[in-house]
Amino acid sequence: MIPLNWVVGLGAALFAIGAVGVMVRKNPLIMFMAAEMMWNAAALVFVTFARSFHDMTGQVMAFIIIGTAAAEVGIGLAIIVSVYHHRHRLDIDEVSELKG
Amino acid sequence: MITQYGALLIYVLVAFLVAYLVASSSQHMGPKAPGGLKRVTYESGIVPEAPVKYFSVRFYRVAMFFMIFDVAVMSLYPWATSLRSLHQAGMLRVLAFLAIVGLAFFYVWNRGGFQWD
Amino acid sequence: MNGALGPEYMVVLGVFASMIAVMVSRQRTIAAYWAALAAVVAAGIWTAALWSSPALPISLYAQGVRVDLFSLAIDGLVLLASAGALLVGWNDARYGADFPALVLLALLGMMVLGLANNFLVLFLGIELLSLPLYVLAASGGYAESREAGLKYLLLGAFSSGILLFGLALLYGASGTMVLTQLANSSLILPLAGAGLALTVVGLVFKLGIIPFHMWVPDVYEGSPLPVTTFMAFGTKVGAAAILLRFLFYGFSVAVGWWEPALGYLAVLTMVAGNLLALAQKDMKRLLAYSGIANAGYLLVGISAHNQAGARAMLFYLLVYGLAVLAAFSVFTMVARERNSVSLNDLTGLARRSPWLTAFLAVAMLSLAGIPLTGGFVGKFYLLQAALDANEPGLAIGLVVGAMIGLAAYVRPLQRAFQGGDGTSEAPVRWPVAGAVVVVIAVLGTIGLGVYPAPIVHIVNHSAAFDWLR
Repeated sequence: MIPLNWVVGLGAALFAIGAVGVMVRKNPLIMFMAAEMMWNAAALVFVTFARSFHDMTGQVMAFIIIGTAAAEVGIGLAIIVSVYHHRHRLDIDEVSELKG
Repeated sequence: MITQYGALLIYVLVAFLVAYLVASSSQHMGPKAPGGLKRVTYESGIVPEAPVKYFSVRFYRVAMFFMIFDVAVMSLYPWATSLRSLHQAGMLRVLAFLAIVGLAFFYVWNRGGFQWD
Repeated sequence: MNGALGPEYMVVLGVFASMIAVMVSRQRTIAAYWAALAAVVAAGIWTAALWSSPALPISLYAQGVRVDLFSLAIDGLVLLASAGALLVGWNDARYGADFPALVLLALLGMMVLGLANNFLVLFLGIELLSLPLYVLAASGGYAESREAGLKYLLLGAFSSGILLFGLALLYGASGTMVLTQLANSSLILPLAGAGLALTVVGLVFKLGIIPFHMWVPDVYEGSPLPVTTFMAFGTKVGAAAILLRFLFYGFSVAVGWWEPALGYLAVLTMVAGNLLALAQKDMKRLLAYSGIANAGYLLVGISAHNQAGARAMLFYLLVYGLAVLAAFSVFTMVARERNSVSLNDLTGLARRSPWLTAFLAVAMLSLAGIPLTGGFVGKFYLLQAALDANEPGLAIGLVVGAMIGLAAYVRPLQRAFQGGDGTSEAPVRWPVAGAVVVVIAVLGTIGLGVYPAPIVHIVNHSAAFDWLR
């Protein structure tokens, strides 16, 4: 049996890699993928704790996260493709007519 | 307990650091030679036939709709595994769910989402 | 109780009706708009009917959903926001026939955020609010809209990830997902602290508080005008409602963990948001920074952590929303085919359309907090709440922020009253739907400033968190 802390640690590591990925990378597709990785890290932690508590709600939450992530990916790819379609290149620094 | 989670905190910090170092090392350490061969699609040296201006959205669209409806159908599995204990109420709710998915399907169809051209 | 979720069911039916109208009707766009508006009105009537129900508060779905006067007040606010957005974008070919259904879906998310009492419903509400708004922000066919949609999507997914991980840690620390049970559970401390911090950061991201605000101006500027209207009002209501519920129900005991941090964020946001608003030339960006500053005012109500604070926050949400609706519907009329309004477009507006300028002036003065407008009363209640909570720092920040803001809001008015010969410029055209919005919003703003008693009565009942001071 793998100790609880290890799995939660794995979740934390996945979350950190995802967070850093969103901040460091410039390709929107990769950034989006990194954000999805953060979601999946959270789902993993939910399932881990649900198993240790013998509680179903955490598992349901993971299920809902997967379903929502699919919807988000559908919408996200649609937006990214429509941006790509009008620019023919993808670099977040070039998508900057709006200055923050 | 606190020392255990303190270790976890250190683990998280180290994870962030390692992830940052790995992700940014190519930027800091790699030689910077923009332009030239770097811009070629395949660095193996094979020149693409022609600059691709438009890429086909058709496959992408089909893949996207497949994925969305696929995950919607995935929601049926928990219901199917506990079908007997949920009785009629569960059946009614699943039918309502399928009706909503069906409405979405017909909406996409009606709005031309499945048109190949 | 069966009817407790009636308003939400009406909105769901409205989504279906609007989709079917698009498929069946020959004049698909206008039919979809009417179906959506009918659903919003029906949901509003149901909300009003539920208000005096003796069965409240009602908990449903294993305490996942809690219908009480607070959730009904939030319902009312977001219904107003979506009705305003539908009317501002009424039957506009640019946004297509899908616009009403998407607005209703986002509206449903905001209503769910008002009801949420466990992590699952909280997350579903946040996503139901965000996903349609990503699409709406990217709609309209402008290059800058697509860009805004992309930025909103990336930062939205990022902040949702932070929020989710925080919720996961909180679940691990407490063993429960229900907010009302969180307070009684024995928390594992470092884990719960990290979870609370991440969750609050995720929620504050959605609200647009200053260190996490960078997406707000870009997204507001790029999105189509009706969508910006909806985001400025509705999203703020939803995010503020869930932040208040999460902290007041879940962490009312461990106050020291979040109160000081949110207080500092509130002061920083109020002052810096208004300062940044000073430099803006584009009206949508001005209102975006104004929205950030106003989110800071809302945070004052939350971090005061007393009943007066919750009441003042609810009241201020209505005041802010009405002013935003009025300002944006005026801008939509001035912008016409374009998607932006700059300071220069307002030059000489007073000669072209004196009435429109008067309405804009009321909205801007209300945002600035001039007496006889709702903005003054709202800020006054917030100030009172901050002083009740013995937080003079919050009160000083609020006053300083409002004084800086005054300069920012007066600039467009000054432009509108100067220049312009009035000879070449035709008066601005008034679409009926937009005129309805602007007149109602302006009357409401003045009404709240002159005679706030009825709304104060409603707000006092709905924010009855009687375990607080």
